[in-house]
Amino acid sequence: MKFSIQREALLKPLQTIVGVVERRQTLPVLSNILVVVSNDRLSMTATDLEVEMIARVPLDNAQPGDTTIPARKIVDICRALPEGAVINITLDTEKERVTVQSGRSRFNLTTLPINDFPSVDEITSQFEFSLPQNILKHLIEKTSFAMAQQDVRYYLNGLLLEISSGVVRAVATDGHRLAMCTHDCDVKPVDTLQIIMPRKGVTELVKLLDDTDEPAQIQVSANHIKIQLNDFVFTSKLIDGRFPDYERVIPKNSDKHVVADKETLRQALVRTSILSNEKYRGIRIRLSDALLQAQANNPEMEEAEEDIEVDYSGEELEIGFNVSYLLDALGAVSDDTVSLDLGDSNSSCVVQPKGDSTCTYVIMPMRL
Amino acid sequence: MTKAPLPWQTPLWDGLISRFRAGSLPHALLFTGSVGYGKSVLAEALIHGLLCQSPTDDGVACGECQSCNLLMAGTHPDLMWLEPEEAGKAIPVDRIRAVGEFLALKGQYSDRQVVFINPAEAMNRHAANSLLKTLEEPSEDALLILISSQPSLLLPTIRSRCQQVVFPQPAAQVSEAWLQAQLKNAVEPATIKNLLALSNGAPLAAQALHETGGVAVRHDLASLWVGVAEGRADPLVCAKQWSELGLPQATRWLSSWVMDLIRLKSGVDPVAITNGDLRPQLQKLVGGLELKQLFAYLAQITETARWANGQLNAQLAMEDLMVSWSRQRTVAK
Repeated sequence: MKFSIQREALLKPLQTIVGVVERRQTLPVLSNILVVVSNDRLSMTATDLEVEMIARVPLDNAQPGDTTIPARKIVDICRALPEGAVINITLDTEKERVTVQSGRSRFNLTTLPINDFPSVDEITSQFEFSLPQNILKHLIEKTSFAMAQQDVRYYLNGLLLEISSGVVRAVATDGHRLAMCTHDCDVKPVDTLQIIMPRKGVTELVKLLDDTDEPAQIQVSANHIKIQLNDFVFTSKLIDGRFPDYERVIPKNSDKHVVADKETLRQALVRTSILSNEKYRGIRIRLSDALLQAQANNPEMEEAEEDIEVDYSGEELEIGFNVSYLLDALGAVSDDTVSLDLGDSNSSCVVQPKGDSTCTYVIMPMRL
Repeated sequence: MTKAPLPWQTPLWDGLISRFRAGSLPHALLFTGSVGYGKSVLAEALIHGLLCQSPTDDGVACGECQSCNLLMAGTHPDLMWLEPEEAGKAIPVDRIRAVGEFLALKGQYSDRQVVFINPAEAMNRHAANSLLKTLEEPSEDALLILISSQPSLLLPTIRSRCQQVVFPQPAAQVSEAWLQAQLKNAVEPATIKNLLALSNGAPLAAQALHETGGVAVRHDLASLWVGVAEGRADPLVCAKQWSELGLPQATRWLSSWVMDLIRLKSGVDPVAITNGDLRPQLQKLVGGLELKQLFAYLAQITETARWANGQLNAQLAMEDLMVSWSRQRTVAK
């Protein structure tokens, strides 16, 4: 194995995939990346057994071969070399070492056998479809904040992707609030397909996606999801479990409709939240004619109150919420105006961008 | 080299493999039996066999497929291998929590994910408690294998959530033949018999005893121990040497010898004892000892053995045992 490459052409893909390599590794081979060179292409694979990322870089006049080399060290070496440097990488198969040479610098790295590297085989795909990258990114960004963290209900520690005829939907919930984003798409699965992507996979994937409408090829198997982009292949294991029936959580008979300016409401809530209980983050919302009153107090009996002008005409209502959940939902709304749909003080609130029903946020009330 | 079960384990192996093929293997197995019966050898062979992509007709791993390569490199993504970082140390709670996270995800190569915990009693209280949730309702494709030579130290709630597989003592002939082959016929049959007798018939323990030169060490320690009883040796010096052996082994030997003393004291000649080679020394001691005191001492050793795998300081524990032992003789006078 032998090839030459520009520093920048190697560094960027390396830095992208090295994110999945965990710093504290119990298995030595997992702190390495798998390097496979063919005549005109270099492919590098990093894995933590949960998420696998492959970066592909075109090469000229390379001698084919494969090995595994320490991930962090090769990144650090590339980063420390001067800009525009040409890097020559050679594998000495006898000594099982890799030489990295550039200008007058030479580095000798250890390797580990490629058979020890647990790369994902070709997955037997059950369903394939393609989605523009920006749409996939949008679906994830609008929902992923609501994923649970280290919940014992392990199926909540991830993002549900649901593919039904003509529609792709992302749903995340931690049991207190729910985020859902739907997008039309030219797909026709036989049955509605539900997969849960683990948290780590979601956060790594969103870093890979660009705001372009270039397609992302998505393959789903019984155990994996594989997403092919231009220069990267992303594979994640799936969570083994059933996602709760989220449709039941979305209230259907809310009779109180509030329309507010998003930024005004958000800033008012941020201010009020300063004096809410630091642990429970409770906030009291009072609705009356054209007025939304937010009120919070903490254990020191300090109190914050703010009146916000809103578009509302209905019965008066007093309801409590965790203000962080409200702020998260408002933060994910990209429209200027937002609508809140409420029932009584014991039913959940639905937050939606005004005039756009593709994103829905459901927040459970809190007893104050 | 493929991982295969040991010769005396064939019935257990066949039973497990036929249940696996019939799809009736439970989600959690608890392997119990004395140290040196080869519990973890069988467990490892079973794990390799289950994860192998093309196992042989009798269920043993092929040793050539991708899965076998990764298993031998210790990097198989569908296997979680839990052992204390150092022998005698506990398995902490965060490593057990990782089991839950591991089983929450689907497998990479096969539909089966295996967790191996050896020894199960090394889990500290928090770790054991956090395993309960996973043991109670693991995902469909999970198999947990727990190994324990002292299942009585496990939480009853852990025991009741596993199906126990009890390893019987191997037949003497099989063990002798196996040990003979392992030691490349370099030792006399009588020595083999002696090694097995000293290890309570556990072939792997006998092999370890031979390889570490344990027989000679044992004789040295025995004469020291007898010396303490006769008031010739300093109990603290004796304790220091004994503690180098490690508490689990030290307490096993001590309790075996004290049991022999009890047999000699209460039995009628000729008494059958386990440590035949120490008979003259033990016989000499018997006269000055009292049966009641011996039983109390045995209870003390057993109590120490219970904690031997924990955080107990070996030196202090041995000093305690040796000082008590030096008083036995005084009491007898």
